[in-house]
Amino acid sequence: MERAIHVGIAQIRVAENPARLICLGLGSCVAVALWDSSTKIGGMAHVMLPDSSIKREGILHKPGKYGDSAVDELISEMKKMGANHLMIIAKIAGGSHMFKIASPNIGDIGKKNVEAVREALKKHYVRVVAEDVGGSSGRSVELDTDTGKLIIKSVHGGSRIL
Amino acid sequence: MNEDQEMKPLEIDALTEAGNIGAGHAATSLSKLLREHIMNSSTQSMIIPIEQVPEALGGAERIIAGVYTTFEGELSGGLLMLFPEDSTKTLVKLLSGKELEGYEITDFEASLLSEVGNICLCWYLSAISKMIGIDITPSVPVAAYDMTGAVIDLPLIELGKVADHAMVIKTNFKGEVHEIDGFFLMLPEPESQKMMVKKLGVV
Repeated sequence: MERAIHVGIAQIRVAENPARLICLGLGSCVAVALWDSSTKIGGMAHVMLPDSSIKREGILHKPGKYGDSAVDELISEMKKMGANHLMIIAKIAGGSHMFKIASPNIGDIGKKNVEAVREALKKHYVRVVAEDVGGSSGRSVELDTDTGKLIIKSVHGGSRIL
Repeated sequence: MNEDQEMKPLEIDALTEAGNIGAGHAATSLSKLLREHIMNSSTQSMIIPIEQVPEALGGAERIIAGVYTTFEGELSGGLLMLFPEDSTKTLVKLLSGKELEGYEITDFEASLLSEVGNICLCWYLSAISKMIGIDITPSVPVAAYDMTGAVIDLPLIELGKVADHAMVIKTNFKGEVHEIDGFFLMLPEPESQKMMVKKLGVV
């Protein structure tokens, strides 16, 4: 039986095939799903904030929390497991703007998260082959390490496969 | 060890009491709005890692409506009023006379929920403001209806900028006649937790 591995907010998980890596209830957060087709090693991060440079003193260092450090850490963990860097592809989902009525106090953090993740992946020469980002709905995502497919579900029913 | 994990039981009790009083005032205002007695049950306070908050609220995929406001100034943090799926439907029906269909809320329904939230959240904050003797300025509340994880991740992101742990002050409420239950969730920033504890005269 394949393992279902839940990736909570600000967490990073990597797994060998067979496994399903899952992020539930993404709003403004972004799920970064990486997959190496040659070894079928998969990885997922549940990113909260764009950039680790905003990190304040006295806060625990948690690489999965920020887009840039999450991508660094995810790739390094996958390589440690035996993944081939050049074969890694990325699929990303999330980054919604959840709240209907705009408030000047709440910026569009979802959009910034997506941009930060794209930028970090580019820095590592990892190609984003598919994405389902933005909008105003929550998402749950699941990466199948056997096929590299990313299943995306929302409350509006149905699922999309990237 | 993170600083905000080091709260003493007495300090937690003081914050719990503040949550009780805030939610009590908010429930009274909700009772008036709905012409139905809304009761508060007890407040729970907990300090948990941010990633565990969705589970503590009943799971990341459970459908929920959330009205969210932030407050800044001497005291800063976020405050949410959350209604499970059935209660959201009851509330929309009671206030608009129309059934809530599916999971897409209209702008009208969003503003309706925001307005309920606005009244209740302001009462909550004003009670706390009076209790500890400092001004609290809330922002205009915003509403969402979706999976719990998706609704609360923005408030957690805001808190996540300055903390790894969330101080969660949760008060449940329940209607006497209709199925209207839900809870208030206060997420003070670490500095504000200390300020509240100090003003409440515990230390």
